[in-house]
Parts: sequence; C-alpha cells; structure tokens
Amino acid sequence: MEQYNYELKTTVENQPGVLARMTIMLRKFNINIKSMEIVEPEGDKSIYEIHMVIESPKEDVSVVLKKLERLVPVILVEYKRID
Amino acid sequence: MANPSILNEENLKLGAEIFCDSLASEGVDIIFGIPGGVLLPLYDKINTHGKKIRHILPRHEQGGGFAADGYARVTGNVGISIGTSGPGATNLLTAMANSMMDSVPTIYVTGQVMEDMMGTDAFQETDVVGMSMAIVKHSYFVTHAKDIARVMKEAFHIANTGRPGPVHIDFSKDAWLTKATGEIPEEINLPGYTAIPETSADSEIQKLEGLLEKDGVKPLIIAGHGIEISRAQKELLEFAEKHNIPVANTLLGLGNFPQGHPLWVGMIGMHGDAVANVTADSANLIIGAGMRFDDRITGELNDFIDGVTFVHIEIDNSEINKNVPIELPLLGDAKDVLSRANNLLSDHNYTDWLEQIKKWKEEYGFLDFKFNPINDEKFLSQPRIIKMISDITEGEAIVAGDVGRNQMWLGRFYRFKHANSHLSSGGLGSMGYGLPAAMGAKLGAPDREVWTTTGDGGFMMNVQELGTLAEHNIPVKIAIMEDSSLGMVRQWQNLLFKGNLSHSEFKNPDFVALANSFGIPAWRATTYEEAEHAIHEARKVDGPTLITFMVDPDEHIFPMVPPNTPLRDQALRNEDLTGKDHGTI
Repeated sequence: MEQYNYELKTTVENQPGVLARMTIMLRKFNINIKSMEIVEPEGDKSIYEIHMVIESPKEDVSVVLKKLERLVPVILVEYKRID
Repeated sequence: MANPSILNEENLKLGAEIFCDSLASEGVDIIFGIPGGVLLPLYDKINTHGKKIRHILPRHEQGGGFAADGYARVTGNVGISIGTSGPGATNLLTAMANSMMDSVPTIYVTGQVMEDMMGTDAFQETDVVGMSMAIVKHSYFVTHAKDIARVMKEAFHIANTGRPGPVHIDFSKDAWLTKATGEIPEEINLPGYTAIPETSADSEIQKLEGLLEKDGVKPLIIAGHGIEISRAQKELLEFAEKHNIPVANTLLGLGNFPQGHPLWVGMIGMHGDAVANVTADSANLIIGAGMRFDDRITGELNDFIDGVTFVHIEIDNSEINKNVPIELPLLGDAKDVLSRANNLLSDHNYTDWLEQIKKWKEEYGFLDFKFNPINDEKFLSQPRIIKMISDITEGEAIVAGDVGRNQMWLGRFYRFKHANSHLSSGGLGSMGYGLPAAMGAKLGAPDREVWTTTGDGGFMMNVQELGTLAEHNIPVKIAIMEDSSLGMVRQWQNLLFKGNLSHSEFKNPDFVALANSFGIPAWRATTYEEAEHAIHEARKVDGPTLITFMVDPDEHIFPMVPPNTPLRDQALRNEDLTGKDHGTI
C-alpha cells in the first residue's frame, strides 16, 4: 500500500509521557515513525522540539495533526510533505 | 519569596488533606469511590478532614465511573470517581473511554503503589496512566503532595472547558503521605492547552448567508450533544426558526430541540426516524451543530457526502474535515456562534422543501408505530412500553438508556421535554451504563424524576448497583425490557445472518425476587394493564423500584440502515432485509 511521507516539527512541554501521548495518537491513525530527534533547547528548558519523519497510509494528515496538536502538552505542530 | 512561617512543619498539610481541600474549593458536593490498599491514607482523611463531601460507595468501580458520568451530564459539573491501584484502576477504564467518546467532564482518580516500588510488579501495580492515555483528554501522575493543588486545579479546568472530557490522575501512595503547603496557584500555566483553539470571525459566519440563498437549496440542521453541553438550546431554536430550517437530532442531541415543533424531523441515523433519514438524504446543505458526523448517522459515507455542502458549527477544530469535507467551518462555542449568526444573518424560508417534509411525515407516520411491527399476541412491545412511560411521566423525567435496541427505542419514543435529560452511552455504546448513570443523575438532580430503561443484558452488567441504590434509598425507577436476549445482536442475527442466534440468548434470574432481596419493591408486567399499573405504583414509591417488562425478543427496530448502506435505502420492515446478501457487513 502506498505511503505518504511527512516531516513534522512539534513544540512540546518538557514532561514525562509527552512522546508516549504523541506516538499513541499517531498509531491510532496507523501512522509509522521513520525517524525522530528530540532537540534540547538552548535557553528555556521547559519547551522542547521533537522532529519526526512519518509515513501515513492516507495522503491527508491534516486532521491527525490537528488531533496531535490538541494533546494538552503539545503546543504546536508544523509539517510538510517530503516525497 | 515565600513567608518563612508557612514553611514550618505545623503549617504543612498531608497530600490527602490537600486533595480533600481541592475538592472543596472546586465546589464538589459528591464523589463516587471504592477504597483499597494504596488509597487508605486518602480515605483516612476523606471522612474526617475539612468540608464534608458526600461519598458514595458503588459496588464496582465501573458503576462509580458511570455514575460520575451521569452526574456530570445532568449537572454540567465535573463528575468524580475514585478507584484503587490495579483492578480498581482497570475497572475504571471503560468509564473513562465512555466519558471521552461523549465529551463528558469527569475526573478519574486512581491510586498507585509507592514511587520506589514502581516497575517491580508490586501487588496491585498496573501502569494505568499508560493504559488510559488513548482514552482521556489528559492525564497526570502525581508522586508528591506539593503538586496536588496545582494538578487538581488544572484537571478541573481541562475537564470542563472547551470540548469537555475525562482527566485521569494517578496518585502514588507517597502523594497522600508527603506534606506541602497546599497553596492553590492563582494562575494556570498550560502553554499547550487552549480551551477553544479557534473562533470564527463574524465575516466567516456571514458566508452562511450566501449558502442559504442559493437557488434550490434544501437545508437541514443536525444538532448534537454539543448544543446541550453549550446550553445553546434557545439559540438553536431561534436559528432554526429564523431560517425555517428543519432540525434532526443525533442520539445524544435528543432534547435540545422541542420535539413537538413542526421543524423537528426526529433522530437521524441507523435506527433514526424515517423522516429524518429521507430529509438528510435529499438535503443539499447540511449544517452540523455540536456533532461529529459519526458513522451511525451518515450511513454509507460517500453517498451521504455526494452533492451536499457541509457547514460545521464546532468547538473542536480537530473535528473539521474528519469524516466529511466541510465547506464552511464555524468554529467556537455553539452558543456564541449561533447567537452571532442570529444577529448577523437575514431571515429565510424554504416553503417547497418544508412542504415536502410535511408530506414525508404523513407518509412515514412520523413518531407513531407504523414502522414498528408489533407482536402483541404473546409479548409486550418495547416501543409501546417506552411510549407508555413517556406519556405517564409526561416527558418530564431524566431517562438513562442502556445500549442496544432498548437504547434506540428510548431515543425514538420517549418525548423528552428538557435538554440534558436523555443519558446514553452514545459513542462507546457500553452496555451496563443505564443503571449507574441514572444513579448519578438522580444524585445530581434530586428534584427530578429519574428512570433507566434497559435491556436485561445491559442491566446484568452492572446489576450490583442495586445495592448502592437500596443502601442510600436513591429513587431511580428501573424498567427492564426482559427478553432473555442480547436484543440488537439478535436483530442483526435475525436479519443479516439468516437467524443464526449464536450465543445471544441467556437465562435470567427472577428480577422481582432479586430486587426484593435488596429491599427494592418490584413488579413483573406481562400485559399492558399490568405495565401501566406497575408504572403508576413505582412512581408512588420514594425510593428505588424495579419493573421487568416481558417483551418480544423478535420485535425489531425499524428503520434500520445496515452498515455501508445509504440512508435512503433504510429498511422499514423485516422483508426489506431478509433473503438479501449482506456479505459485506
């Protein structure tokens, strides 16, 4: 089945479980994570960035990423198509 | 710099005390909970510390969770239930999922083993935060008293703002036993949480004018639970009347629009009113208000979408375009959006369209039994019993349904006069909801008459709560539709699986004797005379009562829109479905 690749840049609160919440939400839509990096901020340590490359079975990921952004510790989700 | 005097040991409070004080400061008047090992330090304070809060001990955590959910639906306040670590916590999971699916403001509190025991597979240790993450609006894990006041304040805020939902807080035993000042922070600092993430400007609302004025437009409003959560019934009525647009309700929206109103077309969906379904099928402009285009209301999705322009009035921006493509999203609280729309837009009328709907109402026998073939010979008919309860209570009661055929008949034939009075496990469809939800509803609205209408299968799933009702003399009127069957499963098996009743029949206890053993007066009705007599007698009792109605196991609810079927192909009688190939179901 064809997969659609996206690069995500998420801004999140720095607290245990954030990544778990995000991956649970992505799994709910059967989205796979191909790579991931957690970027430690230089200044304020309360906010982190998580960068991911994901592959989705559906081309339109806008609703999924809105759901991701609605998670309480997730502040912002930005994304772009990369294939 | 904090005042050094408050840091003296004698000015510090135990975590358990801070928790109790937080409940009091949020105005909580009732909680549902079952103590257990790791909760004992909390329970040592719950009945002794500070303001007395009524505590109800359900007989199973799921009963307590559903009761908190029912309480929250009728009051609009946050419902609270508590379970201990391990099984107490896992027993609450179904209730959490239920509150999530139906957007009910609740806080689920669980105990956890001491922090230094975590990960050792200690007695009654489960990773319940890990389990609940997918089914709650948010969750917390608290290990120290110093965090309790803040977390509680945030939890109440998250649970009951924006699109409401359940918040789960897991407290390790240390949290109760450590000490802190318990000072409640003035500010809430949640950078990732905005109750209403987007609100449409007036200029967006004005775009509706163009859609309403198009030639040949046939509009329909589908009003859901969001209208009741937002308390926007008045604004919805004004909006519908201003533009003369017919209104269909989702199951959870029933009661938010006057059911005697000429614009009302009934409940839409798989077992909705035939008129609502044909109206939705013919409409070319659908305005969803506080609803989410669930598969149970759309029928076959592509057919539902085809040729229709959709407007979505919705508080949760992540619902837009989820199931249907939205031409005009109107984001924000339903009350705010509708009241602005009522000021901004001009009046409209759709005479030909309304005339057509009037004809359908005559053709399909709107709100009568025309499409519910009744087998009066041997058994009672469920819809007639529901209508009898509706007539005798004059539509004034709060009624908690269970799940299955009984749930659909309740939606179809109880004429609700008030909003927030019809309780149903709509999204999750959890059997066993009715009895405990009615208990919570009655405790939240003691001046209202409260019934639960339930199948025998669902009733048996939380039957233990008879004990709680009896102990506290909570006047819930229980109406069991007894047919020794999982009714909706049986209907599908009858109609779609060639009558193969695989594991959907069972043997019941004597429900009258069972209720009597709890000291609850009970009746069995096998005739309509007995049924009417029992309903009148039950209403005279100032306490819980039970009536079991011996109903027809093979009476089917129609219309029925089988899965992946367009609404227009709704089956109206057995013959529409039997003998057909339903291999794709």
